[in-house]
Amino acid sequence: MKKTPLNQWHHNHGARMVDFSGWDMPIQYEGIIAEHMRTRQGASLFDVSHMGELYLEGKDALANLERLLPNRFGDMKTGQVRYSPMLYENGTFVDDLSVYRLCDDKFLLCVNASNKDKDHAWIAQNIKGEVVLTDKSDATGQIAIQGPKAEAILKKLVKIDLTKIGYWFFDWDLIDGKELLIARMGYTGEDGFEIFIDQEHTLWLWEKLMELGQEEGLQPAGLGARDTLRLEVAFPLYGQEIDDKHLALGCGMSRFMDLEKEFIGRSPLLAAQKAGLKEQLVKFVLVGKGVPRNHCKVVDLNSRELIGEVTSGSHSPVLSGGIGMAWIKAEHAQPGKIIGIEVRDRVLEAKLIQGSFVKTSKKA
Amino acid sequence: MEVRPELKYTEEHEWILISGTEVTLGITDFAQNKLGDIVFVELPEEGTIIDADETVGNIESVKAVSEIFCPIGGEILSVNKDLEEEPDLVNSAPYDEGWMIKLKIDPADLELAKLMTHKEYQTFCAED
Repeated sequence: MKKTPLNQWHHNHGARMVDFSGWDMPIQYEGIIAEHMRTRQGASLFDVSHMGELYLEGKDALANLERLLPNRFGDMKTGQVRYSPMLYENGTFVDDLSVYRLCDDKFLLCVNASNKDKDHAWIAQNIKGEVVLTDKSDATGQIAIQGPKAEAILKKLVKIDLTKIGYWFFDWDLIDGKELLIARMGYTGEDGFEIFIDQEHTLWLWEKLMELGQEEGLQPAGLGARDTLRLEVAFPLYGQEIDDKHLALGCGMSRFMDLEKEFIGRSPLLAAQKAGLKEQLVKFVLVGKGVPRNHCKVVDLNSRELIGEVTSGSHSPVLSGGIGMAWIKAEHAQPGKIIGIEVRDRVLEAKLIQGSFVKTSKKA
Repeated sequence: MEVRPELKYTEEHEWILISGTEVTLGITDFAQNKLGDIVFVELPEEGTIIDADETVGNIESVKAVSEIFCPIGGEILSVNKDLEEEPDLVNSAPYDEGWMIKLKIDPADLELAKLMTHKEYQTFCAED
């Protein structure tokens, strides 16, 4: 099993560990709900060193990105980050990723741990011209500090002015000779930062932040809270909402794609758009008690016709009830509509909603 | 992990307290800790007749769902209604306020039920 530089720390601090696509990762320390609420109200530290870091560099790096990914990158400044899906020729997902512009001709691509090798192979196969692809995942650690108090804690460590870093922007800092790339973003919906650092200095950074955050009540949070936090703000997760079976349409990806430009996977999207969407990714809140789970069937309440499947379902600690996302037939995807979720031998009523499930501290 | 000598235990990590023809059932401290934060407990209707080793309900934690087995048959006398609003009582007090069902049984059936003493259960958990 693969280990992050913080693996021993997690074991020493009572974390419950799980196999997360080949990585020995903490699912929880104290408890998912406590860690979740602390992230919403204070701040938490997440070990996300398992994420993949790929670099594209060279005179043709930008041109390759523009063709490889549906989002636009030409107008990005150095120090800016942009989210994008990455699609196969058939318009389904290879992965979703964040692209960091390090300088004119160098980009960092942060990809899902479970997809890293597949992504590397796909990119290598599709790039051309003067461009070099490098995988620095093993040499790189990554720590996320998330929550309304994240900035107050991090500012005790860094020399740069964090208030100057907007959401989806980053900057570098040098602390005790160690280089940090600090990006204001995250997977929790809260204000916060994701910090890249050399693998060998990751434990130093983690312990330093834990120490500096004592006053604000900073504690570590595991993958369990990371999942409920991202679900409450309806962020997709590869392998659940998005995968190599669903088209990148009808799932909130439109604002991350420029259908006017040429990119891999574009034509099936244009064709499907013209023909009309068959399926849509929706968000629902259970009306009564219960917990919807991944793969639960979605049915029409009157006819009991099967109309879709839950992609992520869980208990929302903030709403104190069941929430989820599901791919359902497009004709049923009307906000406010009550649908049925099959949980074991019962059909639970759920209401379709628009927007995020909860409000957060994130600065727009 | 806490065990109590006055209780009997099952391999599915339930405890029962036997008091004549009445049995109280819940899940053990080991089980609640393994499940993590419990957010919903689905219990049977009062008056339901159940068979031994039948599933009598479900426990939902944030991450997983787990069935509640009853090692002995009988009639459901009452269920813990406090768990509707405070399912986390199962985490905080699994042997007390977190109890789940009370059952009327025939004490003769206890001989057939697969039950462990607290010492046997401790050994069982250590091997788990």
